[in-house]
Amino acid sequence: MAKNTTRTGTQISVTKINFDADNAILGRLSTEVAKYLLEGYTVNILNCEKAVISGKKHSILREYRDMQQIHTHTNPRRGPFHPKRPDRLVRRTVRGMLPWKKSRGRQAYHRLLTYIGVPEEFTGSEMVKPKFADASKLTCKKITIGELCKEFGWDE
Amino acid sequence: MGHRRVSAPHRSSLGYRRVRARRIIPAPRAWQEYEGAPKLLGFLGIKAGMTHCVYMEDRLRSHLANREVTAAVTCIETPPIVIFGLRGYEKSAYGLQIAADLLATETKEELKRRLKTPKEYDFKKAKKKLEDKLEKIVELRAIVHTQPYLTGIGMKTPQIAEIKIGCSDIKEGFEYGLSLLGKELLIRDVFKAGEFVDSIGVTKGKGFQGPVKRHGVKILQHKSKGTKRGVGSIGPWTPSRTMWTIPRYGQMGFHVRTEYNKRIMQIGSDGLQIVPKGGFVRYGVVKNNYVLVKGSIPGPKKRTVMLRGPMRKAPQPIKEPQILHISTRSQQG
Repeated sequence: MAKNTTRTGTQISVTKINFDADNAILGRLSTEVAKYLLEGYTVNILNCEKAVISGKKHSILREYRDMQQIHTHTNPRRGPFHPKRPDRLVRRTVRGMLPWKKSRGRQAYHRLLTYIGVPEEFTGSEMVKPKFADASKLTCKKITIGELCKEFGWDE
Repeated sequence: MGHRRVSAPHRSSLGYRRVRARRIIPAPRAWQEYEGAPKLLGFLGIKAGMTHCVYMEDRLRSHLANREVTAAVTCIETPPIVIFGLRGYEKSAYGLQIAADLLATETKEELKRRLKTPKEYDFKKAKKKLEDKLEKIVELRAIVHTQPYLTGIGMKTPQIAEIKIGCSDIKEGFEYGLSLLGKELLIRDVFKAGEFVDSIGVTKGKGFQGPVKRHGVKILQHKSKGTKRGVGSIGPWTPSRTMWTIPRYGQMGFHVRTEYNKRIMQIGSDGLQIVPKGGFVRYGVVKNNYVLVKGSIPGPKKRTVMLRGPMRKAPQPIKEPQILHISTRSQQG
Protein backbone atom coordinates (compact mmCIF):
# COMPACT_ATOMS: atom_id res chain seq x y z
CA MET A 1 0.00 0.00 0.00
CA ALA A 2 1.31 3.42 -0.91
CA LYS A 3 2.53 5.48 1.99
CA ASN A 4 0.90 8.77 2.71
CA THR A 5 2.48 11.74 4.45
CA THR A 6 0.34 13.50 7.01
CA ARG A 7 0.32 17.17 7.78
CA THR A 8 2.65 16.67 10.74
CA GLY A 9 5.15 14.78 8.59
CA THR A 10 4.44 11.28 9.89
CA GLN A 11 4.11 8.45 7.46
CA ILE A 12 0.93 6.43 7.49
CA SER A 13 0.55 3.19 5.64
CA VAL A 14 -3.22 2.84 5.93
CA THR A 15 -4.81 5.45 3.73
CA LYS A 16 -8.40 4.25 3.77
CA ILE A 17 -10.73 3.94 6.70
CA ASN A 18 -14.40 2.98 6.92
CA PHE A 19 -16.60 4.35 9.66
CA ASP A 20 -19.80 2.71 10.74
CA ALA A 21 -22.40 5.37 11.58
CA ASP A 22 -24.83 2.83 13.05
CA ASN A 23 -25.97 4.17 16.43
CA ALA A 24 -23.26 6.83 16.41
CA ILE A 25 -23.83 10.40 17.57
CA LEU A 26 -23.66 12.54 14.42
CA GLY A 27 -21.61 15.48 15.72
CA ARG A 28 -19.10 13.36 17.61
CA LEU A 29 -18.61 11.02 14.67
CA SER A 30 -18.14 13.96 12.33
CA THR A 31 -15.35 15.48 14.43
CA GLU A 32 -13.50 12.17 14.35
CA VAL A 33 -14.01 11.88 10.59
CA ALA A 34 -12.84 15.46 10.01
CA LYS A 35 -9.63 14.76 11.94
CA TYR A 36 -8.88 11.66 9.91
CA LEU A 37 -9.57 13.52 6.67
CA LEU A 38 -7.13 16.28 7.56
CA GLU A 39 -4.55 13.64 8.40
CA GLY A 40 -4.75 12.54 4.79
CA TYR A 41 -7.07 9.57 5.04
CA THR A 42 -9.72 8.61 2.52
CA VAL A 43 -12.85 8.06 4.59
CA ASN A 44 -16.04 6.19 3.84
CA ILE A 45 -19.01 6.53 6.18
CA LEU A 46 -21.50 3.68 5.99
CA ASN A 47 -24.99 3.28 7.43
CA CYS A 48 -25.50 7.05 7.37
CA GLU A 49 -29.26 6.76 7.91
CA LYS A 50 -28.66 5.06 11.27
CA ALA A 51 -26.62 7.87 12.81
CA VAL A 52 -28.25 9.58 15.77
CA ILE A 53 -28.87 13.11 16.99
CA SER A 54 -29.64 13.45 20.70
CA GLY A 55 -32.68 15.45 21.73
CA LYS A 56 -36.44 15.48 21.38
CA LYS A 57 -37.76 14.72 17.93
CA HIS A 58 -39.87 17.82 17.57
CA SER A 59 -37.14 20.21 18.68
CA ILE A 60 -34.58 18.73 16.27
CA LEU A 61 -37.09 18.80 13.46
CA ARG A 62 -37.79 22.44 14.28
CA GLU A 63 -34.09 23.27 14.16
CA TYR A 64 -33.62 21.64 10.78
CA ARG A 65 -36.83 23.16 9.45
CA ASP A 66 -35.67 26.60 10.50
CA MET A 67 -32.28 25.94 8.93
CA GLN A 68 -33.95 25.21 5.61
CA GLN A 69 -35.36 28.69 5.49
CA ILE A 70 -31.85 30.07 5.18
CA HIS A 71 -31.36 30.82 1.50
CA THR A 72 -30.35 33.60 -0.82
CA HIS A 73 -33.05 36.25 -0.54
CA THR A 74 -32.77 37.43 -4.12
CA ASN A 75 -32.61 33.94 -5.63
CA PRO A 76 -33.22 30.80 -3.56
CA ARG A 77 -31.79 28.62 -6.32
CA ARG A 78 -28.32 29.91 -5.49
CA GLY A 79 -28.24 28.25 -2.08
CA PRO A 80 -27.08 27.59 0.56
CA PHE A 81 -28.47 24.15 -0.09
CA HIS A 82 -29.75 21.88 2.65
CA PRO A 83 -29.43 18.19 1.84
CA LYS A 84 -32.42 16.00 2.61
CA ARG A 85 -30.89 12.60 1.98
CA PRO A 86 -29.08 10.86 4.88
CA ASP A 87 -25.73 10.35 3.15
CA ARG A 88 -25.62 13.93 1.89
CA LEU A 89 -26.72 15.34 5.24
CA VAL A 90 -23.89 13.53 7.02
CA ARG A 91 -21.40 14.69 4.40
CA ARG A 92 -22.57 18.27 4.80
CA THR A 93 -22.20 18.00 8.59
CA VAL A 94 -18.55 16.96 8.21
CA ARG A 95 -18.00 19.81 5.76
CA GLY A 96 -18.89 22.25 8.48
CA MET A 97 -15.98 20.91 10.51
CA LEU A 98 -13.37 21.33 7.77
CA PRO A 99 -11.54 24.51 6.76
CA TRP A 100 -13.76 24.86 3.71
CA LYS A 101 -12.24 28.15 2.56
CA LYS A 102 -8.76 26.62 2.35
CA SER A 103 -7.70 24.18 -0.33
CA ARG A 104 -6.54 21.78 2.39
CA GLY A 105 -10.09 21.56 3.68
CA ARG A 106 -11.63 21.21 0.25
CA GLN A 107 -9.24 18.44 -0.72
CA ALA A 108 -10.03 16.67 2.53
CA TYR A 109 -13.74 16.99 1.77
CA HIS A 110 -13.30 15.38 -1.61
CA ARG A 111 -11.71 12.37 0.10
CA LEU A 112 -14.94 11.75 2.02
CA LEU A 113 -17.64 9.47 0.68
CA THR A 114 -20.87 8.64 2.46
CA TYR A 115 -23.33 5.84 1.86
CA ILE A 116 -26.83 4.79 2.83
CA GLY A 117 -26.63 1.31 4.33
CA VAL A 118 -23.67 -0.91 3.44
CA PRO A 119 -23.15 -1.22 -0.32
CA GLU A 120 -22.04 -4.54 -1.77
CA GLU A 121 -18.43 -3.51 -2.25
CA PHE A 122 -18.05 -2.96 1.50
CA THR A 123 -19.48 -6.24 2.73
CA GLY A 124 -16.94 -7.97 4.94
CA SER A 125 -14.65 -4.96 5.17
CA GLU A 126 -13.46 -3.68 8.51
CA MET A 127 -15.48 -0.83 9.99
CA VAL A 128 -14.44 1.53 12.75
CA LYS A 129 -16.90 2.53 15.46
CA PRO A 130 -15.57 5.32 17.68
CA LYS A 131 -16.44 4.53 21.28
CA PHE A 132 -16.87 8.12 22.39
CA ALA A 133 -19.54 8.58 19.72
CA ASP A 134 -21.59 5.59 20.84
CA ALA A 135 -25.22 6.61 21.27
CA SER A 136 -26.21 3.68 23.47
CA LYS A 137 -24.87 5.55 26.48
CA LEU A 138 -27.38 8.35 25.87
CA THR A 139 -30.12 8.54 28.48
CA CYS A 140 -32.03 11.31 26.72
CA LYS A 141 -34.33 11.01 23.72
CA LYS A 142 -32.82 10.72 20.28
CA ILE A 143 -33.70 10.68 16.58
CA THR A 144 -31.98 8.91 13.71
CA ILE A 145 -30.94 10.69 10.53
CA GLY A 146 -33.23 8.39 8.58
CA GLU A 147 -36.27 9.51 10.59
CA LEU A 148 -35.22 13.13 10.21
CA CYS A 149 -34.82 12.86 6.46
CA LYS A 150 -38.12 11.08 6.04
CA GLU A 151 -39.82 14.12 7.54
CA PHE A 152 -38.26 16.18 4.75
CA GLY A 153 -39.38 13.90 1.99
CA TRP A 154 -36.65 11.29 1.70
CA ASP A 155 -38.21 8.12 0.34
CA GLU A 156 -36.54 5.04 1.72
CA MET B 1 -55.06 47.38 0.17
CA GLY B 2 -56.24 45.36 -2.74
CA HIS B 3 -56.27 48.32 -5.06
CA ARG B 4 -54.46 47.59 -8.31
CA ARG B 5 -52.16 50.55 -7.77
CA VAL B 6 -51.15 49.27 -4.34
CA SER B 7 -50.74 45.58 -4.97
CA ALA B 8 -51.31 43.51 -8.05
CA PRO B 9 -51.06 39.81 -8.83
CA HIS B 10 -47.83 38.63 -10.39
CA ARG B 11 -47.81 38.90 -14.15
CA SER B 12 -46.70 35.35 -14.78
CA SER B 13 -46.40 32.05 -12.95
CA LEU B 14 -43.26 31.53 -10.89
CA GLY B 15 -44.04 27.86 -10.61
CA TYR B 16 -42.24 26.86 -13.78
CA ARG B 17 -38.61 27.16 -14.76
CA ARG B 18 -38.34 28.82 -18.13
CA VAL B 19 -35.55 26.69 -19.52
CA ARG B 20 -35.16 24.72 -22.70
CA ALA B 21 -36.09 21.04 -22.57
CA ARG B 22 -33.17 18.64 -22.49
CA ARG B 23 -34.87 16.08 -24.70
CA ILE B 24 -37.52 16.57 -27.35
CA ILE B 25 -39.42 13.56 -25.97
CA PRO B 26 -39.48 14.08 -22.23
CA ALA B 27 -39.35 11.11 -19.93
CA PRO B 28 -42.35 11.12 -17.58
CA ARG B 29 -41.35 11.52 -13.94
CA ALA B 30 -44.07 9.17 -12.77
CA TRP B 31 -46.52 6.64 -14.11
CA GLN B 32 -50.09 5.91 -13.20
CA GLU B 33 -50.82 3.30 -10.54
CA TYR B 34 -52.14 0.33 -12.39
CA GLU B 35 -53.39 -3.09 -11.33
CA GLY B 36 -54.70 -5.67 -13.73
CA ALA B 37 -53.79 -7.40 -16.94
CA PRO B 38 -50.40 -6.23 -18.24
CA LYS B 39 -50.41 -3.36 -20.69
CA LEU B 40 -48.29 -0.39 -21.70
CA LEU B 41 -49.10 2.77 -19.77
CA GLY B 42 -48.34 5.19 -22.55
CA PHE B 43 -48.08 5.75 -26.26
CA LEU B 44 -46.27 8.08 -28.63
CA GLY B 45 -47.91 10.06 -31.38
CA ILE B 46 -47.27 12.95 -33.72
CA LYS B 47 -49.34 16.09 -33.44
CA ALA B 48 -51.08 16.71 -36.76
CA GLY B 49 -53.38 19.66 -36.17
CA MET B 50 -56.72 20.75 -34.78
CA THR B 51 -60.29 20.67 -35.95
CA HIS B 52 -63.65 20.59 -34.21
CA CYS B 53 -66.37 18.05 -33.64
CA VAL B 54 -69.99 17.97 -32.52
CA TYR B 55 -70.88 15.39 -29.91
CA MET B 56 -73.58 14.57 -27.40
CA GLU B 57 -72.79 16.01 -24.01
CA ASP B 58 -72.65 13.04 -21.65
CA ARG B 59 -71.88 14.78 -18.36
CA LEU B 60 -75.23 14.32 -16.68
CA ARG B 61 -74.79 17.29 -14.35
CA SER B 62 -74.04 19.69 -17.20
CA HIS B 63 -76.82 22.10 -18.13
CA LEU B 64 -76.21 20.96 -21.71
CA ALA B 65 -76.62 17.27 -20.85
CA ASN B 66 -77.85 15.11 -23.73
CA ARG B 67 -77.61 18.01 -26.13
CA GLU B 68 -75.29 18.59 -29.04
CA VAL B 69 -72.15 20.54 -28.16
CA THR B 70 -69.09 21.55 -30.13
CA ALA B 71 -65.54 21.00 -28.99
CA ALA B 72 -62.12 21.71 -30.43
CA VAL B 73 -60.12 18.52 -30.87
CA THR B 74 -56.47 17.83 -31.59
CA CYS B 75 -55.59 15.13 -34.06
CA ILE B 76 -52.57 13.02 -33.15
CA GLU B 77 -51.30 10.60 -35.76
CA THR B 78 -50.24 7.36 -34.13
CA PRO B 79 -48.39 4.96 -36.38
CA PRO B 80 -47.70 1.67 -34.56
CA ILE B 81 -44.76 1.82 -32.17
CA VAL B 82 -42.12 -0.91 -32.17
CA ILE B 83 -40.99 -2.51 -28.94
CA PHE B 84 -37.32 -3.36 -29.34
CA GLY B 85 -36.25 -3.78 -25.74
CA LEU B 86 -37.20 -4.41 -22.14
CA ARG B 87 -35.59 -2.82 -19.15
CA GLY B 88 -35.96 -3.76 -15.50
CA TYR B 89 -35.41 -1.38 -12.63
CA GLU B 90 -34.58 -2.39 -9.09
CA LYS B 91 -34.99 -0.33 -5.98
CA SER B 92 -31.94 1.06 -4.24
CA ALA B 93 -31.38 3.57 -1.48
CA TYR B 94 -30.78 6.19 -4.14
CA GLY B 95 -33.89 5.56 -6.26
CA LEU B 96 -34.53 3.23 -9.16
CA GLN B 97 -31.46 1.69 -10.76
CA ILE B 98 -31.26 -0.26 -14.02
CA ALA B 99 -31.04 -3.97 -13.20
CA ALA B 100 -30.91 -5.53 -16.66
CA ASP B 101 -31.73 -4.91 -20.30
CA LEU B 102 -33.01 -7.14 -23.03
CA LEU B 103 -32.91 -6.15 -26.69
CA ALA B 104 -34.81 -7.72 -29.55
CA THR B 105 -32.67 -9.72 -31.93
CA GLU B 106 -34.30 -8.37 -35.06
CA THR B 107 -34.79 -4.64 -35.29
CA LYS B 108 -36.07 -2.35 -37.99
CA GLU B 109 -33.52 -1.02 -40.44
CA GLU B 110 -34.55 2.58 -39.70
CA LEU B 111 -33.58 2.24 -36.03
CA LYS B 112 -29.93 2.32 -37.09
CA ARG B 113 -30.40 5.96 -37.95
CA ARG B 114 -30.95 6.66 -34.25
CA LEU B 115 -28.52 4.30 -32.52
CA LYS B 116 -25.93 1.63 -33.09
CA THR B 117 -27.52 -1.77 -32.67
CA PRO B 118 -25.13 -4.42 -31.29
CA LYS B 119 -23.62 -6.66 -33.98
CA GLU B 120 -23.19 -9.68 -31.78
CA TYR B 121 -25.85 -9.98 -29.16
CA ASP B 122 -26.35 -12.98 -26.93
CA PHE B 123 -30.11 -12.88 -26.52
CA LYS B 124 -30.29 -16.01 -24.35
CA LYS B 125 -27.65 -14.71 -21.95
CA ALA B 126 -29.33 -11.33 -21.62
CA LYS B 127 -32.71 -12.95 -21.15
CA LYS B 128 -31.37 -15.21 -18.41
CA LYS B 129 -29.78 -12.24 -16.66
CA LEU B 130 -33.08 -10.40 -16.67
CA GLU B 131 -34.99 -13.50 -15.54
CA ASP B 132 -32.56 -14.06 -12.67
CA LYS B 133 -33.08 -10.56 -11.42
CA LEU B 134 -36.84 -10.65 -11.86
CA GLU B 135 -37.49 -11.01 -8.14
CA LYS B 136 -35.63 -7.82 -7.34
CA ILE B 137 -37.18 -5.83 -10.17
CA VAL B 138 -39.89 -3.40 -9.11
CA GLU B 139 -40.53 -1.66 -12.40
CA LEU B 140 -40.48 -2.99 -15.92
CA ARG B 141 -40.36 -0.71 -18.92
CA ALA B 142 -40.53 -1.31 -22.64
CA ILE B 143 -38.00 0.48 -24.83
CA VAL B 144 -39.94 1.59 -27.87
CA HIS B 145 -39.33 3.56 -31.02
CA THR B 146 -41.75 5.44 -33.22
CA GLN B 147 -42.14 5.04 -36.96
CA PRO B 148 -42.36 8.57 -38.35
CA TYR B 149 -41.39 7.30 -41.82
CA LEU B 150 -44.89 5.85 -42.12
CA THR B 151 -46.37 9.34 -41.99
CA GLY B 152 -46.13 12.06 -44.57
CA ILE B 153 -43.99 14.48 -42.58
CA GLY B 154 -40.67 13.45 -44.12
CA MET B 155 -39.02 12.46 -40.86
CA LYS B 156 -37.01 9.27 -41.14
CA THR B 157 -35.24 8.88 -37.82
CA PRO B 158 -37.33 7.19 -35.13
CA GLN B 159 -37.71 8.59 -31.65
CA ILE B 160 -36.92 6.44 -28.65
CA ALA B 161 -38.69 6.32 -25.31
CA GLU B 162 -39.22 4.11 -22.32
CA ILE B 163 -42.80 3.23 -21.43
CA LYS B 164 -43.74 1.43 -18.24
CA ILE B 165 -45.45 -1.92 -18.45
CA GLY B 166 -48.34 -1.79 -15.98
CA CYS B 167 -49.01 -5.10 -14.25
CA SER B 168 -50.01 -6.57 -10.90
CA ASP B 169 -47.20 -9.11 -11.02
CA ILE B 170 -43.76 -8.45 -12.52
CA LYS B 171 -43.52 -11.98 -13.93
CA GLU B 172 -46.77 -11.50 -15.84
CA GLY B 173 -45.47 -8.17 -17.09
CA PHE B 174 -42.23 -9.77 -18.20
CA GLU B 175 -44.02 -12.47 -20.17
CA TYR B 176 -46.23 -9.85 -21.76
CA GLY B 177 -43.14 -7.82 -22.65
CA LEU B 178 -41.44 -10.88 -24.14
CA SER B 179 -44.48 -11.59 -26.29
CA LEU B 180 -44.30 -8.07 -27.65
CA LEU B 181 -40.55 -7.93 -28.16
CA GLY B 182 -39.66 -6.96 -31.71
CA LYS B 183 -43.33 -6.46 -32.62
CA GLU B 184 -45.55 -3.53 -33.39
CA LEU B 185 -48.18 -2.21 -31.00
CA LEU B 186 -51.25 -0.23 -31.99
CA ILE B 187 -52.86 2.63 -30.11
CA ARG B 188 -56.00 0.48 -29.69
CA ASP B 189 -54.01 -1.96 -27.56
CA VAL B 190 -53.21 0.79 -25.06
CA PHE B 191 -56.08 3.29 -24.92
CA LYS B 192 -59.79 3.31 -25.65
CA ALA B 193 -62.10 6.11 -26.70
CA GLY B 194 -63.59 7.97 -23.75
CA GLU B 195 -60.56 7.42 -21.51
CA PHE B 196 -58.52 10.25 -20.10
CA VAL B 197 -54.81 10.67 -20.78
CA ASP B 198 -52.06 13.09 -19.81
CA SER B 199 -50.11 14.72 -22.60
CA ILE B 200 -46.41 15.31 -22.09
CA GLY B 201 -44.65 17.36 -24.68
CA VAL B 202 -42.29 20.19 -25.45
CA THR B 203 -43.95 23.52 -26.24
CA LYS B 204 -43.27 25.69 -29.28
CA GLY B 205 -39.90 27.39 -29.01
CA LYS B 206 -40.02 31.18 -29.12
CA GLY B 207 -36.34 31.96 -28.58
CA PHE B 208 -35.03 34.84 -26.50
CA GLN B 209 -37.89 37.16 -25.64
CA GLY B 210 -38.47 40.33 -23.68
CA PRO B 211 -40.62 40.64 -20.55
CA VAL B 212 -43.72 41.83 -22.43
CA LYS B 213 -44.05 38.66 -24.49
CA ARG B 214 -42.41 36.33 -21.97
CA HIS B 215 -44.24 37.40 -18.83
CA GLY B 216 -47.03 39.63 -20.06
CA VAL B 217 -45.99 42.85 -18.31
CA LYS B 218 -47.71 45.99 -19.55
CA ILE B 219 -46.27 48.11 -22.32
CA LEU B 220 -45.44 51.47 -20.78
CA GLN B 221 -46.66 54.76 -22.21
CA HIS B 222 -44.92 56.01 -25.36
CA LYS B 223 -43.09 58.84 -23.54
CA SER B 224 -41.27 56.40 -21.23
CA LYS B 225 -37.56 57.05 -20.98
CA GLY B 226 -35.28 54.40 -22.45
CA THR B 227 -37.75 51.67 -23.23
CA LYS B 228 -41.46 51.09 -23.14
CA ARG B 229 -41.34 47.30 -23.47
CA GLY B 230 -39.44 46.86 -20.22
CA VAL B 231 -40.41 46.55 -16.58
CA GLY B 232 -41.11 49.86 -14.86
CA SER B 233 -39.05 49.03 -11.82
CA ILE B 234 -36.80 46.05 -11.34
CA GLY B 235 -36.60 46.42 -7.60
CA PRO B 236 -35.70 48.59 -4.64
CA TRP B 237 -32.41 50.31 -3.79
CA THR B 238 -31.69 47.67 -1.19
CA PRO B 239 -31.12 44.77 -1.60
CA SER B 240 -28.96 46.04 -4.45
CA ARG B 241 -29.54 42.94 -6.51
CA THR B 242 -32.39 41.92 -8.80
CA MET B 243 -34.90 39.59 -7.17
CA TRP B 244 -35.63 36.25 -8.79
CA THR B 245 -39.30 37.19 -8.99
CA ILE B 246 -38.76 40.12 -11.37
CA PRO B 247 -40.07 39.41 -14.89
CA ARG B 248 -37.02 39.56 -17.10
CA TYR B 249 -35.94 38.69 -20.64
CA GLY B 250 -34.74 35.21 -21.57
CA GLN B 251 -35.69 31.91 -23.17
CA MET B 252 -39.36 31.48 -23.93
CA GLY B 253 -40.91 28.26 -25.12
CA PHE B 254 -39.43 24.81 -25.72
CA HIS B 255 -40.34 23.89 -22.17
CA VAL B 256 -41.52 20.50 -21.00
CA ARG B 257 -45.17 20.73 -20.06
CA THR B 258 -47.53 18.09 -18.80
CA GLU B 259 -51.24 18.59 -19.21
CA TYR B 260 -53.62 16.37 -17.31
CA ASN B 261 -56.85 14.59 -18.13
CA LYS B 262 -57.34 15.04 -21.85
CA ARG B 263 -60.33 13.09 -23.02
CA ILE B 264 -59.88 10.78 -25.98
CA MET B 265 -62.87 11.49 -28.24
CA GLN B 266 -62.12 9.01 -30.96
CA ILE B 267 -59.54 6.47 -32.03
CA GLY B 268 -59.73 5.77 -35.73
CA SER B 269 -57.86 4.22 -38.60
CA ASP B 270 -59.21 6.05 -41.63
CA GLY B 271 -57.55 9.45 -41.64
CA LEU B 272 -59.59 10.69 -44.59
CA GLN B 273 -62.68 10.99 -42.39
CA ILE B 274 -61.17 13.66 -40.22
CA VAL B 275 -58.49 15.40 -42.28
CA PRO B 276 -59.62 18.84 -43.50
CA LYS B 277 -59.84 19.40 -47.25
CA GLY B 278 -56.33 20.01 -48.51
CA GLY B 279 -54.86 18.36 -45.44
CA PHE B 280 -53.80 19.84 -42.14
CA VAL B 281 -51.84 23.03 -42.86
CA ARG B 282 -48.11 22.42 -42.41
CA TYR B 283 -48.76 18.75 -41.88
CA GLY B 284 -50.65 17.08 -44.72
CA VAL B 285 -52.86 14.06 -44.56
CA VAL B 286 -53.12 11.47 -41.81
CA LYS B 287 -52.14 8.09 -43.24
CA ASN B 288 -52.20 5.96 -40.10
CA ASN B 289 -54.25 5.40 -37.00
CA TYR B 290 -55.11 8.58 -35.22
CA VAL B 291 -56.43 9.83 -31.89
CA LEU B 292 -58.73 12.78 -31.44
CA VAL B 293 -58.11 14.40 -28.08
CA LYS B 294 -60.44 17.04 -26.69
CA GLY B 295 -58.78 20.43 -26.37
CA SER B 296 -55.24 21.41 -27.18
CA ILE B 297 -51.85 19.83 -26.69
CA PRO B 298 -48.53 21.64 -26.19
CA GLY B 299 -46.07 21.90 -29.05
CA PRO B 300 -46.10 22.58 -32.78
CA LYS B 301 -47.37 20.27 -35.49
CA LYS B 302 -45.09 17.36 -36.44
CA ARG B 303 -43.77 17.13 -32.88
CA THR B 304 -43.84 13.83 -31.05
CA VAL B 305 -45.92 13.86 -27.88
CA MET B 306 -46.32 11.25 -25.21
CA LEU B 307 -49.78 10.20 -24.12
CA ARG B 308 -49.60 8.71 -20.66
CA GLY B 309 -52.23 6.92 -18.61
CA PRO B 310 -53.90 9.41 -16.26
CA MET B 311 -52.19 10.28 -12.96
CA ARG B 312 -55.28 11.98 -11.61
CA LYS B 313 -58.83 10.89 -11.02
CA ALA B 314 -61.02 11.06 -14.10
CA PRO B 315 -63.40 14.07 -13.95
CA GLN B 316 -66.32 12.04 -15.32
CA PRO B 317 -67.26 8.38 -15.83
CA ILE B 318 -65.37 6.77 -18.69
CA LYS B 319 -67.75 6.28 -21.59
CA GLU B 320 -67.22 6.46 -25.32
CA PRO B 321 -68.53 9.80 -26.59
CA GLN B 322 -71.15 9.83 -29.30
CA ILE B 323 -69.64 11.93 -32.07
CA LEU B 324 -72.13 13.32 -34.58
CA HIS B 325 -69.90 15.33 -36.84
CA ILE B 326 -66.21 16.10 -37.39
CA SER B 327 -65.37 19.20 -39.35
CA THR B 328 -63.34 18.62 -42.49
CA ARG B 329 -63.69 22.15 -43.81
CA SER B 330 -60.56 23.41 -45.55
CA GLN B 331 -58.19 25.29 -43.27
CA GLN B 332 -56.57 27.21 -46.11
CA GLY B 333 -58.25 30.60 -46.21
